[in-house]
Amino acid sequence: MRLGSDVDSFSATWQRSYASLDVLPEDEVCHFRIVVERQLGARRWYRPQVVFRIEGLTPFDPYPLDHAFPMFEWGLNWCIAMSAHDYLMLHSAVVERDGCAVVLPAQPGSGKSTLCAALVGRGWRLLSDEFGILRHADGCFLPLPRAAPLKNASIPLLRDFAPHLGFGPRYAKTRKGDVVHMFPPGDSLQRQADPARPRFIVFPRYEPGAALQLQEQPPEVAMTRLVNNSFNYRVSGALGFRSLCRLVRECASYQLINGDLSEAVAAVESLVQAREP
Amino acid sequence: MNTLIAVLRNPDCARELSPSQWEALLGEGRRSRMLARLHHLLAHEVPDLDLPVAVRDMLSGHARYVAHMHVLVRSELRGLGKLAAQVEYPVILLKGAAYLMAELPFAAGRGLSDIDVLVPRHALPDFEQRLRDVGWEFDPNLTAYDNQYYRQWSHELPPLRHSDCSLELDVHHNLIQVTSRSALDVAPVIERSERVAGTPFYVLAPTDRVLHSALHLMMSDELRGGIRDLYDIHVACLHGAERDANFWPDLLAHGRALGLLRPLYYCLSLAGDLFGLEPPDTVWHTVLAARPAYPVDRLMSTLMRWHLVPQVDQPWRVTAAEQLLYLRSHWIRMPPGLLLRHLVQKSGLMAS
Repeated sequence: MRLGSDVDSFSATWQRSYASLDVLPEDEVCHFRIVVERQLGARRWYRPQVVFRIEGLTPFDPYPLDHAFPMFEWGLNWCIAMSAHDYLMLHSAVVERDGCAVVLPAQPGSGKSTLCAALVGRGWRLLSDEFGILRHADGCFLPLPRAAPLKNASIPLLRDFAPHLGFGPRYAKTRKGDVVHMFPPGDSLQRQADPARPRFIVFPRYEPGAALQLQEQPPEVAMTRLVNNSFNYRVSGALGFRSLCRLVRECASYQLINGDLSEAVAAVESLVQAREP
Repeated sequence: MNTLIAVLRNPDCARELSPSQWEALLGEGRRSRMLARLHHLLAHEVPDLDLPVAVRDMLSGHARYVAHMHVLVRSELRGLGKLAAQVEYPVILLKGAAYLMAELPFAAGRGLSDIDVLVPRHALPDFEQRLRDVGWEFDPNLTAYDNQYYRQWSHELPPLRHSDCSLELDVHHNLIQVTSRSALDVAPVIERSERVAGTPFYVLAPTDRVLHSALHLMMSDELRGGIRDLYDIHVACLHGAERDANFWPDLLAHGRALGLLRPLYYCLSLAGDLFGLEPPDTVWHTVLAARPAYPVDRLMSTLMRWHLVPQVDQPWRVTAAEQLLYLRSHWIRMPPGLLLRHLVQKSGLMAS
């Protein structure tokens, strides 16, 4: 990606989030050329706004100027979702430790981002918070380490749980309420070209006050849930079917109902430890 | 020349592209909705070329998406086919759906988001009723003004949607707005339409396909991706001429009879400049006679070029050209009184 912007506060946040990335060499072709810039005209001074442009096109309505960073993150996700049909895209977080990736597919509001951020706080590598990008050729997940938006009550929870992580500014009253981004750790960014092989699928569901339940899911149930979880299962046709079959065959699948973040993290870690000889 | 046009004109030149030219190609391809088309063109013409990873990802990803849209269109056409088989009048597929059904070589990678059909005007109420009987519906939020606008002045019904289908269906009874300055007698076009073997559908004759695209390119107010339409015209001419020795004289005769030599002139002249299309001399001389007065010709050709071949470093030209072309598209489609009324209505000045 090549990115340009005339919004200083945005550039500063972006650089804090992605400081560890290498600069794309001049002779390498990028996927997207994106500009995040101030809206011209009267809106330059009165309630200033910011627009997201890709190749001169403006696919979305402007955002308020101080929400440039969440707009960029959302806009880049949109660009990827519209283009990456060579891969199966799952609405899931993916984290990895010791070569063993855990896929956390879930609908919004299920505590996926929170659990993912907490695991990253415990030293897991962040592959992605939102997009599980599954490569058909070998069944591996490609990393897409990005700032992970934490919402509302998750924000103080994560700050307590993993105070050493980098956090961005608070964005009040977005469409999803208050948002603070957890920045991707430098190590995850540095290893963004290393795919990971999935070993576990964990469908998280946060229920306030619930006791921890970790239930194994039969492959056919996991398969059905993943079909509904995918952004482009239909577009992928037979390739998507085969890749999901392979995924549920090669992974152990669980449903994880939890009311407490530490317990949920411990449950996921115990799964992986139990596997090790 | 811009990279997209250079590659469309001569795919072999993709071998020589620098990284920044590849990025320009991705940008131009995205703006004109031709990324999937580029995928097929390069895979076919320069199959041994190793594409940069990002280029391969983008082209192939978009091609996969378009292939999926084609599956949806085919499945929807199976449903519509049952309807088309029951009626006495021809149900004529237009544009993308026609290219797909008639298996024209340039259908591969051509994106489409709706299905366009043409039926004779007298058959419109019957066809509309049959569609509604099987679940096609108008947008429930359609305003009374928009509904009236479509039915009284437009050449199509308001767009139809079906709960089982993600595509929109546009039912036309003419190729051009009925209030246009150059009203078009569509009867001979319908008369010449051709049955697609093995299906209940008809498609336009190859000459009318070119004329329709030309009309669309020169009159549409939807300006994004004009280069794709012009490329369609270019390829349709090559394909038509290859299949039928009478293609060029027929194109001329049909264009003249329909009063469409002016848009045909603009398109052939642009396709000649940008893609190297060469109609036979006799045809070209006759089409040239339909050229407007010199200043108008110069202005139109400049505006179209600024719009079709946008110069990234001169965005004001693109904006200016597109705004003028947008105004022009309205000006030629409606008489002044109606245009004024339409603009007042759309500006919200007459809050109803």
